[in-house]
Amino acid sequence: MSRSRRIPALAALGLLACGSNAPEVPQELLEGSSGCHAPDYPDSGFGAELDDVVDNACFVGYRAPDRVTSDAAHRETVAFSDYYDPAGTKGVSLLLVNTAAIWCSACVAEHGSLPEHARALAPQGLVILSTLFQDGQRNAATLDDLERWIDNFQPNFPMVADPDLQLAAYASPASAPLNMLVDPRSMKILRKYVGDQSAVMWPYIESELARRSAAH
Amino acid sequence: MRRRRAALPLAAALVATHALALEPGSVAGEPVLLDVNESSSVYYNFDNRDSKPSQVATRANDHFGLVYNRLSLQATRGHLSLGVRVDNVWFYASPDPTQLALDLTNEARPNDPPGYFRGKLREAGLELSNRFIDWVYPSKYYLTYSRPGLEATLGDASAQLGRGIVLSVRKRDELGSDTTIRGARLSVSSRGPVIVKVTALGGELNPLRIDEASGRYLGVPHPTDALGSVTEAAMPRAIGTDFAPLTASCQSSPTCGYAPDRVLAGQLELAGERWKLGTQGSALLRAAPLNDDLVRSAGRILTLSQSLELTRPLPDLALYAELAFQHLGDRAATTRIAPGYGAYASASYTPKNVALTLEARHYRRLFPLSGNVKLARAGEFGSLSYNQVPTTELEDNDTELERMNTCVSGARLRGDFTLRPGTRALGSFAHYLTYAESGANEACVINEQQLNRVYDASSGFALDSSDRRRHLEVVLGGRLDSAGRDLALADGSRSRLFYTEGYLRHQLELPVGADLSVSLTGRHRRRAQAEGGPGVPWSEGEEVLGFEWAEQFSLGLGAEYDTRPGVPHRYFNIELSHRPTPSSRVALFAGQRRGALRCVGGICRLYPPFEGVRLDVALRF
Repeated sequence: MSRSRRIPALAALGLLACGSNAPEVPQELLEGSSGCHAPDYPDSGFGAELDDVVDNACFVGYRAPDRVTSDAAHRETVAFSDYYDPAGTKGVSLLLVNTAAIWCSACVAEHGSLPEHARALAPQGLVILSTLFQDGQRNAATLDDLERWIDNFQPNFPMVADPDLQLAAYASPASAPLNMLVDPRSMKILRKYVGDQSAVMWPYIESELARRSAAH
Repeated sequence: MRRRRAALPLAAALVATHALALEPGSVAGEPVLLDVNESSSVYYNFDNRDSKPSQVATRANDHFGLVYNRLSLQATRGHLSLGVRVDNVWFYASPDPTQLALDLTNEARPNDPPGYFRGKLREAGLELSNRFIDWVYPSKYYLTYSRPGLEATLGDASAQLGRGIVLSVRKRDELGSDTTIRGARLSVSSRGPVIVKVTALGGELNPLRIDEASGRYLGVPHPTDALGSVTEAAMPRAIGTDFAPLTASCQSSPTCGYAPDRVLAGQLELAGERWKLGTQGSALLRAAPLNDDLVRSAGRILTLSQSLELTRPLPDLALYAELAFQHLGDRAATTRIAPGYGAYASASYTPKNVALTLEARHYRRLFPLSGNVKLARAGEFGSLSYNQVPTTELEDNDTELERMNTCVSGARLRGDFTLRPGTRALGSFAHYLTYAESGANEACVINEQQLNRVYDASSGFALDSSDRRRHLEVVLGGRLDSAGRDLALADGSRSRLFYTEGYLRHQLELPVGADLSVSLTGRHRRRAQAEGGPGVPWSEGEEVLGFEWAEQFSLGLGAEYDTRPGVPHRYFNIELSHRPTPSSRVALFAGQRRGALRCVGGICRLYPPFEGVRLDVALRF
């Protein structure tokens, strides 16, 4: 990436410019990640745009929040790789990755109807994975926030916390919600809907599920 | 064209003290007048105190500095004008993605530092790939022939047809936008008791490509046809970076933020002494959509309207009405929606000592003509639109939440009553039924489940001295937005009150001596938003104490506050300005401003907080 780093003679204005060389990265940060590994997950083509492969991400939350009590005893790790289904053996036809935040009114409104869509389309292979990333003050969402959210909205799909904003690379958190459709056969991004775009998104999902069902 | 240095010497601009109209010579015996406008801004942004854990975007808007020049030249000879505006931005300081990732990693202390660092580095690299890049480009240029009854422009032209429902591309300083149509515009009008005016225009829509507030730019793909090759020549392009590869497709290139839209539009106006009849239409034609929302993914949008203006059907009365139709075309069969329509009307009644204005709207699926901007990568340009559907509300109203203006019915009555010389009473009342505010409802389904009822009222007074040098105006107002049904809130509670607000606006101007005047201007709001928002009611507002001396020097001392949890509560600033001549100005702002949603006529943009120094110089020769 090329950037200007020159400092103009603006001393008369009392303005300070800062030029710098690239900072040094400590060796421990360059070592292998101890985190989210899935040996069978795609290992190339990663990116954040259409047709790119989504990086495997791991979250803490609930795979089936409608079937367990949302408390510390039932928290589990949920990863994108759980829904990677290259041969179609897991029954996942489409993965919808959704982001939500407590401050986001569109997210709150959207979660009022997400369980209904999940119920209707799960038999056709739709999996919704929703991540709660911030609270009402835009601080990182805690697991307590997640559990309150689950109590309020009763999701019947995997719901996790994303305090590290792992999905921020796909769209700015400020424009939440993000609804990203991922092909579970390749983990490539099919569509990205920024904001609550239900009038366009659900008809597309339904038609895509029908197309995939017919192809089988 | 990318450059590494500021193009214009700011110091030279600072010492210029006289405004002159230049007349460099003549062509074929006719004098050529040359207007030169130079406007420069120099910023430095310190830490604006909005940083949040693990969030790259709120870090990336700290510690950057820029010089932004706008040089406009216009040569006029007789009926011909030739103009060009060149914009040049140079970032002399900007954040480094590696440093951002290191800072976030050190603060977060994650369980998997290498994994976290790599994720944040990639995010920061993407975030900065279309920010803080130096550019110089021809933002506007035109050749205009103008004489009574005929105006023809080749190049950039502004346009507003009717009240803006069909097309409105123009400068909006408050939002930092200036969109034009780069193509051709022809306007011909007849003389006589009934004036016939025909306007036709077409071309590519040309927004400003650099957002000063964020340092983000709008990169376009390489043109694929002759028109695009001309209109996008020398404009900022999508670039490849270490983190953002440039691909063959704009959709998959992270720095490709805008696929230029095209428009064909026209208007036929018939006007008599006291009436004007207008028929106007626009066709917006898109390249491949960069977003999948309803409006931006429509390949063609046709908007038509019929307007009627009566200037004095009865004494002291003026009427305006416009009926509009909109069709979002070229969509997949599964996502087609019924055509939209809308009606806007206003009536002004202004007998002696009274001014009454009634504005009404009834819109169903009447959408803003949003620009084909990639929201995931250039959200700062998300408010770019080519029309402006009247809201009937205050010009700076920022409480039309979500997509309120696309599916709404209601009216607003304003009154201004002169009780005696120098004393006026002010008031307004509005009521709206909205169906796209508390949940997505692009299809504009009308039912109780979607309904919000909005009541908005204000009352105040204005006092003026006989010489108009003393002025006091105070307005109290409030807004009640009720969903009429229980809304499930994130904290587990339920509420019918979707949004409420009470506010006070005031303005005081007093002369102090012959040349010095003092002013105190402020706005204070108490707000509560049930669905989303900070979760608790909050207050925000500002006061500015101003001094003006001999209309040449001014000093403003500002204080702002915002009681929302999680944001700084106090902001202070100072602004000095000097007008050495009527056509030149130097202004220095130093201090803090809170982040806010700023709106102009229903077009809104969320600005982050600012903390830094800004010098503006505007000169005209």
